[in-house]
Amino acid sequence: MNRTGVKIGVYVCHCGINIAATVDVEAVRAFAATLNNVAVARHFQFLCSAPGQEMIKKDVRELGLNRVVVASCSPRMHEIAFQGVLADTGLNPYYLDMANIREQCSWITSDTAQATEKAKRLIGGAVARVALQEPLQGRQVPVIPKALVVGGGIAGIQAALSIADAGYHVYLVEREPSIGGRMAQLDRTFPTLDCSACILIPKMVAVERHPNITLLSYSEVVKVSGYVGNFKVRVKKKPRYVEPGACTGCDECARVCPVEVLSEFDMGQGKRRAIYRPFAQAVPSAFVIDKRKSPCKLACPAHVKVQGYIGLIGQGKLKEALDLIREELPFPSVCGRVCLRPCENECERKQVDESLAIAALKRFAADHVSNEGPPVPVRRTKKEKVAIIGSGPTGIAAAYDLVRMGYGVTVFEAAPVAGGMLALGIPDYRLPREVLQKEIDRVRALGVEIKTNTPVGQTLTIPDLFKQGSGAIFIAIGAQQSHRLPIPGSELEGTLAGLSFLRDIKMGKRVKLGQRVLVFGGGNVALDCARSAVRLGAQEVRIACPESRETMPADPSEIKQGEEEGIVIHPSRTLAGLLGYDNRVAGADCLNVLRIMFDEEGHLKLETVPASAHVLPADTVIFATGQAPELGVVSGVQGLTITERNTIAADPDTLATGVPGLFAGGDVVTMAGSVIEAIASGKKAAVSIDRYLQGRDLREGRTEEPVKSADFKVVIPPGTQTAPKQIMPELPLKDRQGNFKEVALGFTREMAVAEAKRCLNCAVCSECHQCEAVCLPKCIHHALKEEEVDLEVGAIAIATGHDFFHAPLLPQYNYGHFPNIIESMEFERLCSATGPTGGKIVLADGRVPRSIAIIHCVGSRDYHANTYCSRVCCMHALKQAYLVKEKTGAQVYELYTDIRASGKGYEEFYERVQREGVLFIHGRGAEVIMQGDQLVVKAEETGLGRPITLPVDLVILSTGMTPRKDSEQVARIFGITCDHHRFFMESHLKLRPFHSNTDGIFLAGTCQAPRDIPDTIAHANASAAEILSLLARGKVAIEPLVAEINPELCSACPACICVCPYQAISLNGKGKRVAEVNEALCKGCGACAASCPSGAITVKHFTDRQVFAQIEGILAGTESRSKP
Amino acid sequence: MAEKVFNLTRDMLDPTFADLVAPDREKLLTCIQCGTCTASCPTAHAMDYTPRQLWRLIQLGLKEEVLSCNSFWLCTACYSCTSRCPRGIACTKTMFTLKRMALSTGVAKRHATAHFYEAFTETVRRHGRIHDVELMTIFFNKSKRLQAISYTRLGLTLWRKGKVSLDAAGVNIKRLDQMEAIFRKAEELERKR
Amino acid sequence: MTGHFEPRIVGFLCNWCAYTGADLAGTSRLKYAPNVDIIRVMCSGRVDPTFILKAFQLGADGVLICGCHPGDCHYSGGNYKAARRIAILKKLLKQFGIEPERLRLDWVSASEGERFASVVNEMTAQIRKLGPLMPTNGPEIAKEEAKEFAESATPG
Repeated sequence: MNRTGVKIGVYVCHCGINIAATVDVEAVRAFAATLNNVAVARHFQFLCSAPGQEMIKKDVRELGLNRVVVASCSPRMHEIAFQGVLADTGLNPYYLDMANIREQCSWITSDTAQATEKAKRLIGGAVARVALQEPLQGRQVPVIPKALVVGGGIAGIQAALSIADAGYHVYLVEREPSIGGRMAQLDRTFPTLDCSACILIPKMVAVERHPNITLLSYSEVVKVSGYVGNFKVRVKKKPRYVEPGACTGCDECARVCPVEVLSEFDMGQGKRRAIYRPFAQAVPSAFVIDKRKSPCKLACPAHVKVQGYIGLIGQGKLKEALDLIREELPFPSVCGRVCLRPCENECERKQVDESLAIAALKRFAADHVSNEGPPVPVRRTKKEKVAIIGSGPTGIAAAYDLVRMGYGVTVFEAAPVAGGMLALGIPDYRLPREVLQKEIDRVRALGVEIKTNTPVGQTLTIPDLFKQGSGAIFIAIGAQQSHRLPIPGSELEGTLAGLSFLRDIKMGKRVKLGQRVLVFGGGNVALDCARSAVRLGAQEVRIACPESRETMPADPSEIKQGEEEGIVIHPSRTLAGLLGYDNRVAGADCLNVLRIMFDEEGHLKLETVPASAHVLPADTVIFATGQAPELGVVSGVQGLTITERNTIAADPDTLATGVPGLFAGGDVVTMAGSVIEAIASGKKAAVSIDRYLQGRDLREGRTEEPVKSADFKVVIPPGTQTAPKQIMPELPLKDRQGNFKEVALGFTREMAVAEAKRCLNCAVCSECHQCEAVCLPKCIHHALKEEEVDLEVGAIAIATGHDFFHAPLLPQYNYGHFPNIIESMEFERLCSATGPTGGKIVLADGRVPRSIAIIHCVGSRDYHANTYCSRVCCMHALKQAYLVKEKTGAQVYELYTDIRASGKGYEEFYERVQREGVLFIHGRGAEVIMQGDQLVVKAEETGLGRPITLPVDLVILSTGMTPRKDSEQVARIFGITCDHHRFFMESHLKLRPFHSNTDGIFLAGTCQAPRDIPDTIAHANASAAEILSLLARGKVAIEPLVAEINPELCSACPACICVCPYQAISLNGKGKRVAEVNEALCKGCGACAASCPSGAITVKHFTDRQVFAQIEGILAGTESRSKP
Repeated sequence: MAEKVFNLTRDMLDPTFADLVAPDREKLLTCIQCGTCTASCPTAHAMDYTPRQLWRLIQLGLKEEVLSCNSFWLCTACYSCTSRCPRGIACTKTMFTLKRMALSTGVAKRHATAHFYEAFTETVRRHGRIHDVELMTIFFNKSKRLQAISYTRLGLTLWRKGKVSLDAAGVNIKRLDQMEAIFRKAEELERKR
Repeated sequence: MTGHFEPRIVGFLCNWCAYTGADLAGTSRLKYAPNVDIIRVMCSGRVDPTFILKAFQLGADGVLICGCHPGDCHYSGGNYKAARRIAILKKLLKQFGIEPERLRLDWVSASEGERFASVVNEMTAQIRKLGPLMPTNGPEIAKEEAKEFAESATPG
């Protein structure tokens, strides 16, 4: 349609022959001239040239044009240039439209008729659209005068130095503990044979010292938002656990570290410790601790540093191991004997053979530390007093932690002895009383007052304790009432409650037992009762339990030992009643159990087999199912909630009850039953009580970590052999008769050390604290945490470097199957004086090789691997040949496809290497085999046209450069794209190889494509120059392509607000509520426009009407149209 | 080969030879002469021209040289070359094509392997499976009559152990007509090619 | 139908990935069917269903929309929105009497020149087979659909 006042000039470019050879430019021009509103149509050889641009400007001036259509190359090429042309004439630059008749027309078809028609259609579309285009004003935004460089290899270092030298501030973020990248791993560089470190280190030092560079090492970028000139970057700083400023690099810590793993810097050719520095000249020079997660520590409810003490035991450092355990536990000897061992269930060693015998190791350490004096009493540093009711594991664990925090702690125990269930419920053959007593005495010696025979709840009540000055009170009385089944006959003579039975034995009371004992229950208490009964002389001891054999909750080793001792187990039974004779139990009426179920309220329901009634003979029946707390202790307390299971209600995270200052934990709350859980509960209470007394929030920051997070992966060191789990020696059966001597005898020293050495060191650093002990500057802090910092920068250079092709992907080279086949970077580490062999070139067994074959193009120029040429491998293969000749007298063969030596001095270097007597074979090494014990390379001597076999001592595979494994994830973080090899994609391969497709983000170095060091430095400096140009301008133009809302049509639905990824739209609250766009945040994607049901939103320069017009113009056909 | 100086413009006798031979002509043109195929080939040492040299001859259009050499006859179809060729060239397929071409242009009359293939297909077509003695008889008849004598001892040993039988009774498979149908179909496909 | 049918296809390509990929196809001199006329938008999420319907109304035989691969959208998730809209629109097209295969959504990254060429070739071949668009029996198809739906909803 004719729009009044619109005058369009259409210009069809030949682009030399690029367009004109395929598109009939005159026909297209003539067609354009017939379109509506077109005042003039011309064609020209090169519109982008000065005369071309002049021609357009002349027409604008002389013909009064107010719209311009340029039909030429892609707008991505020259749109900005042509917009500039319009601006020069005073026209608004947004009065331009372009038709892409080159990249999307003349270049994609050889059919000239079709290409010409297509060009006409595209111009038809552009002409229709441009008539509706509006004048728009871009915005100028200030550029933050700071830059971010990501990656501290030579590219990142160079870019950072160039920007910083120009006076702008740079943040350099490096993922590894030290900068230096791949170049630091090289021995010498081609073609000059400069020592790589010698030319790199001064630059690394310059970075560290530069006042304009902030180095964030051991850190990673996790989030990027914003736009050119205004980027917001979130950086995660991983904890080194070592203070960089204070570390002197003395290496004492590494010497005592018990954990050794393969060194990444040495490409797995050497080892390092958990605390390490990647190489001697590292910048920063501080050490770093590689600390990951171990499942054992996470699974332990008390989070004991399991890997730590195991490592120390392996080194024979028993006292240190015991001290480490005692950081968390008051009862190492006890736990080493009776713990349920959740750690062993999660131990990753079971991937190799079986989990470690962790508890047995703990017991070994505790039992074998001799000459230990009593502990030094802890100094009381806080005025508050805490009262703990109950001296079982819960109460003592809480007391132990609180006294070490400096509080005054008094434990009130109703029984005559301290220890709770440990003292009164676990038989001596499992836990000898002397062992427990020793540990309780240690707790007393620290300063905890334990008052036995002092019940609370009668003459002394909880309110009394508060009145007497206790700042907080912890109820940890456990669940010590045994529960008798409410069946007929449960009160006959000869029936006993299990826990009372065990308690009587421990207290030394004479217990009258019959000859035929029946214990009812399937848990550890039942086994304790049964095995105690055996020792007290009962002739027949039986256990009946509702659970099946497989689901009996008792510890399997207890069950095994019980059966060895003669106990007969009757699983899947329940007692219907007890038969009496002369008012004494004579037998038990039993029913078989089909199924155990729980109803909606959590009550146990048994489904029994009909008509299965039978009698088990018994003259003594011991009930060992279920425990319950006895709650006399709470008399006088207001506001406490008791649950229907008769437990005290307490918050699961803080253990607070409803009453301020009153906490409850352990079995009295959870009835969970295990010692380690009880201890963990006591520790939790200690934290809560401390926070309460200091007036801090009880809940903050106390979430538990999952045992195995989604990205947990244990690394099983290569070459790990299976080794059997040590089996706990036991007291022979005949020696157990009639006594309560301890059955488990404990590991010997040899057994303990052998078992400890099976540990895989999942967490690497085991937190054994040996490094801390020897660190003179005291700069090791294991409690440091990850930090996040937010940076604001104007431009970003990405210099994240490369990885190498993984040789096992080509199985014909047998890498990893035969010895002495290595990758080129691994060989580089052998050559390097800072490497694992001190620069000596040796085979796996230490011999010097007499012949070496270097195979080129491994994983490169290969359809079965990477199709591209890796550019540098020919040269570094030549360099390595030269180094071999320099260091050894070995014969070197280079098996190549082509020699690519195109840089300055490269061809000369090739000749030099040839002169050294290196034999060059033009024939790709196809296979590496073993004949007997001789390595043989197969190739074709193409010069002679004969297949050859080459016996050598060492094979070096020149593997190609590849993008980093995570390049796609990194690209997403920054909003750039990857090419189809996963290198970062440049904006234009020839003209802009260091621009990404995102304004303000530049690429430096091998992350964009394989290149050598001189080209990397040039590439990095090019990025730096672009960044400096941006920062120096201080302002950048933002295109005004933002969304626009017509308030008349908006119904405030608010679909657009939900859809906008930048939260750029909000409802304004004045008068009629309508949606409004914040132009500073809007990026112009148009998602809102397409979602508006009222058609109220459009995007400037991409309005609905403009697009409709373009569609119409394209589909209107290519017949010449006459003007009205 | 060593005596002639190739004047390449005229000696490129058959520029379409590469088309006929390669399943994918463009692929064969991308050979970079690296020699991986030769190096991987278990029988290359016995060939007149190594596989690599063979692709070169094909690229240059030297049809006579190619069809008269023994290289492709020695191909065991192990596919090592195809699985390792860095250009992704279907080497083994090309070897098969050369065998077919040699047979159809009559060049193959001189090579023992071709005779063996023919003897094999003849006995299989007749019986539905191999009749060992007949196979060897036909083969020796076509190619090396005198060589048959050197096999006498082996033949007697086999016969004594009951491994070969001289009579043809009971050798045929039950559904010989199905085997015949297979052969007819194969011939039909060959004609279409 | 007289003469040789050349499908007329309108393409909406996002500036960051697909349009750049299409440019790459051209820079690489790949030859493919010239039947898709490309309109540049900033994001595939900009494509309003009315654009597509307008194209069909004005004579397009097919409409192609190309955006960034899932996860790579320059504007975070515009391509997901496009995917959802087009899934629904395809159902509507049937009721207009337009074969849903005439509308195609695909993902082309900035480095995928060859992929773009093959997408265009595939779509052109498919539209060629379907023939020119002649939307005439929309109301009939709508009635059919309603009947089918009612039958499936009633039990028994």
